[in-house]
Amino acid sequence: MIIAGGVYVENCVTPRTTQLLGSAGRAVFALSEMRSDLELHTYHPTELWADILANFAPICTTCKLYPSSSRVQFSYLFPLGRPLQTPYIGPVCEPQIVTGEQVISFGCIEGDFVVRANAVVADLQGSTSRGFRAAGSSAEKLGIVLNGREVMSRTGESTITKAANELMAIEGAEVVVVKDGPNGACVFTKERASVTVPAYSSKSLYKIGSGDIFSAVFAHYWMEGTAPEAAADLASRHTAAYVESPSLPLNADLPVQKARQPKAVDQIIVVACQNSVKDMWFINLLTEAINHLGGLDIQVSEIGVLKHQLGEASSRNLNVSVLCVIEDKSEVDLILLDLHNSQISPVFFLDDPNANAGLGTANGRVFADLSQAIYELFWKPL
Amino acid sequence: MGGSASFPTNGSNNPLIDGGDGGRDECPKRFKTMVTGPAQGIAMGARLVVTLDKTSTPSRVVLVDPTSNSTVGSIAGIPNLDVLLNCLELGVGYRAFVDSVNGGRVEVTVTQL
Repeated sequence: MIIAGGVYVENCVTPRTTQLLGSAGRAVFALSEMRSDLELHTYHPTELWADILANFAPICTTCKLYPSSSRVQFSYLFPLGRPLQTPYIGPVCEPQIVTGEQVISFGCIEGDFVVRANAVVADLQGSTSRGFRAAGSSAEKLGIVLNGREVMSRTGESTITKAANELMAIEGAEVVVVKDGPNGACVFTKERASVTVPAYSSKSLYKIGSGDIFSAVFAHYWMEGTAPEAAADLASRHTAAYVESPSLPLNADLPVQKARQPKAVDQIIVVACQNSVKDMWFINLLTEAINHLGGLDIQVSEIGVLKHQLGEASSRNLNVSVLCVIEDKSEVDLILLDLHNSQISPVFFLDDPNANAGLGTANGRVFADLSQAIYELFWKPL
Repeated sequence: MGGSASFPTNGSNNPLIDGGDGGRDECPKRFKTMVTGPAQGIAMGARLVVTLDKTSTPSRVVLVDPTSNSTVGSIAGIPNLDVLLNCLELGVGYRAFVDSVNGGRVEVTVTQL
């Protein structure tokens, strides 16, 4: 199996990590204990090819490297935050032709991979190219994986269902899988009605690269003959296992996992201090991450004002989720007073690694992992 | 820009070492990383030996538990792994201290001896 795509440096402040993975690198590591036929195709500056080989040659049968001008780095403050890309380069490299039996093709910053293969899974994340076939690629059997925002922007359709069916027709794809964050993923095929596979529970959420894991696992099983709906379900389960650890390579044996049930959410209220530039900067970061997941109505509130805002939301029959950013555990009771009689089970974020073990309340859930706290806003409690 | 290059990785030549430049001065003194493919049972506070596994071609950087003499994981997916690999080839010694174990996430601090 050929895996074509970017290999990038990824830095994260919390949890502190520095990795050389990117979509293609992560997919190679992910599948390295499930397969022994992995071939990596990627762009990288020639002076750093030895580093690519040191990392990937032990787990690949071949590393095919194409020159680029710079090693690209993505810096995250936390896994759901928008990363800073340095240097900021566009697709400046010549497109490369990749020919094989089975190919996973990831959208790549440096340039396009033109794929000619029997079976292809194209993960179009972040790709600005025209589309799989319009770029000159071809496949007997094509699966496309992308998220809801991407499928709608590519087709101009107003709903995910219309957009996925339109994309399937344009590309002649057998299957289109639309990832929808906390809601899992929706599998569209020509033959059957669409099927939604759930997101599965995990104790923490290291979201960097979770989409790469999903695509890699989906491709692995689907290309081996597993039905697309079952392959997507396995992909979702492996993704949950990955975001919890995040340990590579993936273990073929999955732990027992519970499906997370999405809940209807019209509005999210973020309760946080707004006393300083630091506070406001953090709130902006938070609301941007929430907005990226759902594009919802997000309101910012403070202790004491929350009760009034909830009353307003109630009068408009809105389904509300509440995220409370707390400095210490003593604030929990004050917030619960504001929520008295509201039926809302708030999510608390406490920036303390021991918070999960240290605080349980009858009416709320406390998380030390900010990404986990944000996802919990969209899920019914376990 | 020059052309592409394909590196079959099951041959006997190790492309990582051939023509490698630099000496001991370039060797990292200390860094933190996650263990790739950690074995179950790694304990926080354990001291591991960082060494080259030359049975794989090309070589990998692995972590060995000196009490059982078993490989408990590897170091991979990090920038400048080629430098570390060259340092180990040159005979520079490293050990790893297990900082934390959180499910499958095992973090170590690697220190030059």
